[in-house]
Amino acid sequence: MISTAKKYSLLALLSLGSISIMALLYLWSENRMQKENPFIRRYTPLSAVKTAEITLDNPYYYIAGQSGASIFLANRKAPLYVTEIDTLLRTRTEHKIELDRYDFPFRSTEVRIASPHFYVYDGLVPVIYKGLLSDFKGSVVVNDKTFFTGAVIMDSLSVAIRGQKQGTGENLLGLLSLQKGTRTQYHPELLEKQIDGLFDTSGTMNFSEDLKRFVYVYYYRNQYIVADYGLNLKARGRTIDTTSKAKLKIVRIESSGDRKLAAPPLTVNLNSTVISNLLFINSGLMGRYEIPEVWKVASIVDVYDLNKQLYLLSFYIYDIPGSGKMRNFFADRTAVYAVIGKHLHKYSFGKPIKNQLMNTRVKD
Amino acid sequence: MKILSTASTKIHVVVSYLYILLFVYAAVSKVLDFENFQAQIGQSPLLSIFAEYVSYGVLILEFSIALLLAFPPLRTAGLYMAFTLMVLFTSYIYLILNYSAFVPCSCGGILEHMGWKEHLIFNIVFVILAAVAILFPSTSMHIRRKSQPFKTSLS
Repeated sequence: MISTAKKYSLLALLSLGSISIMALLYLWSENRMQKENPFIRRYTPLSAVKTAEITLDNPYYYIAGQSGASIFLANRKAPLYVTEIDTLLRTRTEHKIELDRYDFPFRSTEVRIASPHFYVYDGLVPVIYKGLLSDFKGSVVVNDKTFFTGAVIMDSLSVAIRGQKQGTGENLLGLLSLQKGTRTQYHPELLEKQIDGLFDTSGTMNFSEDLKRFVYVYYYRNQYIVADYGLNLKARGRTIDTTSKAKLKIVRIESSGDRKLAAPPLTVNLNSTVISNLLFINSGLMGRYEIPEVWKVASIVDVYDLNKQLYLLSFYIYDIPGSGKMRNFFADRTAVYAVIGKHLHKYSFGKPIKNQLMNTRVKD
Repeated sequence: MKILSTASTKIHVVVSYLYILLFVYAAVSKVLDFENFQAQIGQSPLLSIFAEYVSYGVLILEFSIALLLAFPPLRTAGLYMAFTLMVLFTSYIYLILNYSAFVPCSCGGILEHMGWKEHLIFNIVFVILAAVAILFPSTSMHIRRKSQPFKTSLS
């Protein structure tokens, strides 16, 4: 028989051991969840909750940007009309953009709002118009031979663009200045080729005003790129899924020389938006220990911290029966706005996200 | 049934049976809803990374400790292990309470309907029971038949 005193110490030792084991497991798990997440999502309740909605006229709207207490929607079918909606989603105002020139063969016109300006551009013409939100009158600011397939306005003087290398047709990122007489500076080192350099490097582009950082999120691999205002590489971050190499089947059409996708691609990151230090990614891949049924009725948004390149949490944006899934989304400091079919839904941030938002802006 | 036939019995026997009942019940309800159980640990603010190991580990521990407790020669070892596992569970709950209170409990069965605070108290009671059983094994407990709590379960 063990003496009672010995039993006491044995019990104390066991308790102390178990408590420290649990504490260590917790710390270790936390650390790995954020830094090298093995594709386990964390759905922290009340991260983002639907607080408002408004019905639109048709399903072709996309969110062009924000200014003050209004968000602005543009429309794929009516490129020169902008709908202004207050952030409570109560009142709508229609604006018509007037341009100084219309004599271009427009093919894919985009509207972007970056207060106090609006921009209309078509990278296949190529042309960029700029004007003030106060009168919606735009005039041509760039019309040279700089073609592009994607653009993000960084400020009133510079635009980050995705162009194509001459000859190979591979994607490359560049800095296009809106000042007269300056040439576009290309930064071919930013996008890393895996298969063909065109499809596999495709992705979505964003700019964080607070951080003065450009963010590029690949569609087909678990990576994003953070670059500074001059498009110098600052970091390469990893999204939580495991697709590090793009899974694409690309064929070359002999007669036209075009390249096409031969099989439906495995899209990792469907869409992205950035506010301050937070990156929101609408993911296309289900993680471990998730319920497949939820994916049939909701879009999943993962939130990352751009400063530390950490995964923070995930939340749902629910589909609307009959209208399908979220098409595009946009974040401000208080909420994410999502276009779902003919509807605009607002998901306001709760504490879990608000607590992660950086308060201070980086100085210019 | 020994417990039912004597009016008084040793405390470590009673505690052992209580633990067997608790562990077997909890483990069986986890097995029956295993996928859900794994998902809950995966969503837990602690341990997410180890969901796979923890989910199997807890089951194995609960069943094997129940076995140890069922054999009198191994009962003391079983009580020490039960005590340790219970302290582990309790510290887990303590962490949950302090770091995030909205995660569903992955304890299985009716225990799942307990709130975290009730669960903490429930667990502490079990920790104390195990400690008492280990420290004073030959203390007799007088059990009135009417309030015999596991009459049907053990029969």
